[in-house]
Amino acid sequence: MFSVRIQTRPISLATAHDQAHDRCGAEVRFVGKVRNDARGAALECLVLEHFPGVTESEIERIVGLARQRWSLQKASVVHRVGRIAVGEDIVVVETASAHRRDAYEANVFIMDYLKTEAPFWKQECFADGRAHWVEARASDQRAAQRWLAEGRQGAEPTVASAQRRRIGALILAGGEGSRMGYLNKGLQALHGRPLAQHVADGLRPHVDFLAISANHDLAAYESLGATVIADDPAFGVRGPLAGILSALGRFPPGLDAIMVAPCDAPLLPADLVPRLAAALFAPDGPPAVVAATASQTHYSIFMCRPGMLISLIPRMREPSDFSLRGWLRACGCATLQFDDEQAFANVNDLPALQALRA
Amino acid sequence: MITITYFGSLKLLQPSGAETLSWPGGTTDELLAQLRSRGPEWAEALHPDRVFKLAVNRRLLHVAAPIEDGDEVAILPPVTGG
Repeated sequence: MFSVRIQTRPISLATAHDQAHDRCGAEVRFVGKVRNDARGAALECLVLEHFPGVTESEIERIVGLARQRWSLQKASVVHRVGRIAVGEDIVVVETASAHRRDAYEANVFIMDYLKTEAPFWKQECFADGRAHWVEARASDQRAAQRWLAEGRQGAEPTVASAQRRRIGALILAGGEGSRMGYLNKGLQALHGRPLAQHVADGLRPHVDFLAISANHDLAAYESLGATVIADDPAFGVRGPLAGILSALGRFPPGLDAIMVAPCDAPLLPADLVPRLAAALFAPDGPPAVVAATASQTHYSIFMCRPGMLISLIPRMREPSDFSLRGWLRACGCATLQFDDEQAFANVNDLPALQALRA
Repeated sequence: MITITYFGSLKLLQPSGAETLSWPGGTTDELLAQLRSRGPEWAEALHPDRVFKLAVNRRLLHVAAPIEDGDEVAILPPVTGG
C-alpha cells in the first residue's frame, strides 16, 4: 500500500490504481501532466532526469513524513523520467485513508515536497528544436514552506480527544561526554542501573515507541530494550538536532507526538509525559511544550508534534543556531512549569553523579 | 581520483555529465571552491547563493563533508520535478 516507482514507460493509471484497503473511505489521485505551452512557445516534450537510487529514497522519505502526519492506508508515487510528450502523465500520487481529509492533505503535502526535495530535473523541448533546463520556482518553495507554518500553528489533524494519543520517545545519548572524561554518560550506573535506563523506565509506561539517539556503545544501549539510532553522517556534527533528525525516519507512522528527554536526567517526574501531552493537545495548543522549573527552562526535555520535526530539514541546511533552545524558540514553543526542581537534576559531570549516588 | 557527476542544468558546464579529477583530499566546500575557480560560468553556476545539494557515494549531504579518494561526488542543481 506504500510504494514509490520511477519508470521511463508511460504510466498506466489502471495498474497504478491498485485495490485500496477496505477501511479506506477516501482515495485521492493526483495526476501531473505535460502542458502544451511553456512561456508562450509550443512545447513538444519534456525530458526528465533523476538520480537513480537517491531520488527513490528521497520520495520514500517524503512519504514517511506524510505517514507520520496523517493516518494513511495507502500512499503510492509513480514518477516518469526520460522523454515525456505533451498530454502524457509525469507523476501520479495516490493516497487513501479512512476519511477524506487525511488523503487530501497528505496528497498535496507529498506533491509539494516532491517538487522541492526530490532530485528531478526537467528540460523543455520546443517544436522549433530549442531545448532548455527549467529553473526552480520560488512558488514551489513557498508551497512546501506552507506546511512548516501550519506545523507551527499546531494545525495538524486532531484526533478525537477520547482517543488515546500515540507518543514516540527519543532519549538523547549522542553526545561526546566530554565533561565526564569521554565516559559514555548514559551508561554510568546510578543505583545499579545505567542513567539512560532510569530515563527509559520512566518514559516507557507512557509511550508507544522508545528510541535512543546514541553514537557510541550502541549494543549497550540496545540492551536497554529500545531502538538505537546513530546520527546520520549526512547531518554532520550538529549535536542533538542531528540526533533528532536522524531519528525522524525511524519513528513508526501515525504518532501524535514525539517526547524528547536527555539520558542524564534520571529522576524525571512520573507526570512528565501526561502533563506535557495535556498542554500540547489543548485546543489551540502550541507545536511544542518544553519543561521548566523555577531555576531554568529545560530545552532538552520537551514534547512536540511530529510535523514540527520537518522544520529541522531546512534549518540543518543553513548555518544557523543548532541548539535545541534556538530551534524550539524559533518554532514558537510554550513552557510548562514543574515544581519539583530536584526531579530535573541533570548529571552533567562525575561530581553530580557522585552526589546522586550518595 | 574522484568522479564528479553533474545533473540537470549543470550539464551545460560539462556536457558529458561526468568527469574524473585527481584529489589530494579535502571537503565538499573545497571541491566547490576549486570548481568555481575554473572560470566565470563555473563560478556563476555553482555560486554559493544558488541552492544546490551534493551527494557523496549516492548519499545526499546537508552539510559540508570530507571527500576521500575514490569517492563519487554528485552535484545537484535546484530540483524541478513533478
